[in-house]
Amino acid sequence: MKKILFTLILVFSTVIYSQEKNQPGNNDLFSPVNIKKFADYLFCQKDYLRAADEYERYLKSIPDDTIEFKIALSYSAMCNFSEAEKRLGTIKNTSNFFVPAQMLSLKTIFQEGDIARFRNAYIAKDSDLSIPKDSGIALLYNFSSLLTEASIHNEDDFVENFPYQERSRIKYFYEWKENPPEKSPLKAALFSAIIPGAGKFYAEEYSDGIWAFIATLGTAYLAYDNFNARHYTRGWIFSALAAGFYAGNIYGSASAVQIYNTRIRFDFVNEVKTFLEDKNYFLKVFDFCK
Amino acid sequence: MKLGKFIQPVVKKFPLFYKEGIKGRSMQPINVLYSYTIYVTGYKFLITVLTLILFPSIKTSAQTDWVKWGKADYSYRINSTSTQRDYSIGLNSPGRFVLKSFANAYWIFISDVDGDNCSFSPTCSNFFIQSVEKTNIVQGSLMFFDRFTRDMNFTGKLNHYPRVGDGHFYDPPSLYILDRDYINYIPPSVVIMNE
Repeated sequence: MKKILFTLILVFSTVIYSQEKNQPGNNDLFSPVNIKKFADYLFCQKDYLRAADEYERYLKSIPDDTIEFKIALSYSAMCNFSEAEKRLGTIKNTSNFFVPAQMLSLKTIFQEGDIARFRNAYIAKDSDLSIPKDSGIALLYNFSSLLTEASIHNEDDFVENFPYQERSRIKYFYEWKENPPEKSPLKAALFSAIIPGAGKFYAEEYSDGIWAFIATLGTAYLAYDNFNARHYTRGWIFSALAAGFYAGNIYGSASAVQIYNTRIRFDFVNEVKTFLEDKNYFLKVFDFCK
Repeated sequence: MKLGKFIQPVVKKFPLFYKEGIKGRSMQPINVLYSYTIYVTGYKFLITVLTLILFPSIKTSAQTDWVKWGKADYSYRINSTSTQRDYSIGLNSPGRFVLKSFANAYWIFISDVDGDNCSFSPTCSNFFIQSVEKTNIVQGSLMFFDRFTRDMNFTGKLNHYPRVGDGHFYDPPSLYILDRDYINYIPPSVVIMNE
């Protein structure tokens, strides 16, 4: 009897003090409302990976185009552009987010780095949606011509497309694109042929230039000294080495200039990317966390 | 008392404990304890059999101290991919055969004995072979002389080349074949884990 009584007290006390699943105001933690709350919190904390997961879970219960859009924003923020583009494509044309989704989709293509595809996609969408010429995506389209090989013929027309406060920066990018401050490999080779190492100085590789000078003149002096001392074998060996270092320094100067040109182009592209990221690619910022 | 019949053998076996107890405890628990022991001895055969099965099985399956504390061979050397050699002699072209013969002789008699001294990846000798393979003997030789000059420069490498995982400066021949399409610029701040 005692044992039965003890067991009954134990069972009931456990039930009374346990965390209730269906308390009023704190319903099922995994209800769609709570999942969305948690996902919104993660999204605003910039924990996009988990936010996207939670939003996906929410979408299994309730279809919602805002959530679709936020999932795409999450993937875009994580630089998973292909997935972002895929999600944006699912937003129907009846939705309020349809046009922003189309613009964001173009932006993700741009961010992927495929400028030719971006420009083609823009033209296709422009024919469908008639994109206004002063919209952000139209500015991005104009800007993208800086990143193509094709020349931009009229500077004034090009710069005037952009807001007044951005024009000085846009002009700088335009001038860089039209006249990149690249150096000539031929000049570098010529300089090195006259003075060993001079081409490396031209390519701003100063210490390499000094060592090219030392290696060439050092071995040439050793060759001269050995010939003077009638050590002909050593003289010829050092002559061959001097010739090798001399020819190698001319060749190396030309290749150093090519690497220099690649480096400044790399830096330019990075500068453009930073500028665009600061301006959110001329697009409206969707702030769901206010 | 039911256990009384078991106490007598205990008393006979451990008279000292019975009389004095252990650390001031009363006699009763000791009696009960030992009576239980005697009760168990009734199953002496069963216990013996179980022990015989259990003990060897534990001994065979348990982790031995020897394995746990035994000597472990471990090397703290960083695995270097830049010094990995391909000693094979290519017979597909006479030029490659001559080049690889000289390279192998240099590696076996000089470089391997001297140690891992080239600060670049690929090493200068590997760079020469790769340069000749990518271009031709003349251009490859020019590339090698340029590389050798840059290798002598002990002051300007640090902020100039990216590093590979083992600390060598990454400097592949593809940067120097005078074709911009092959130049893949990598900033010096980058550490390359897979070449």
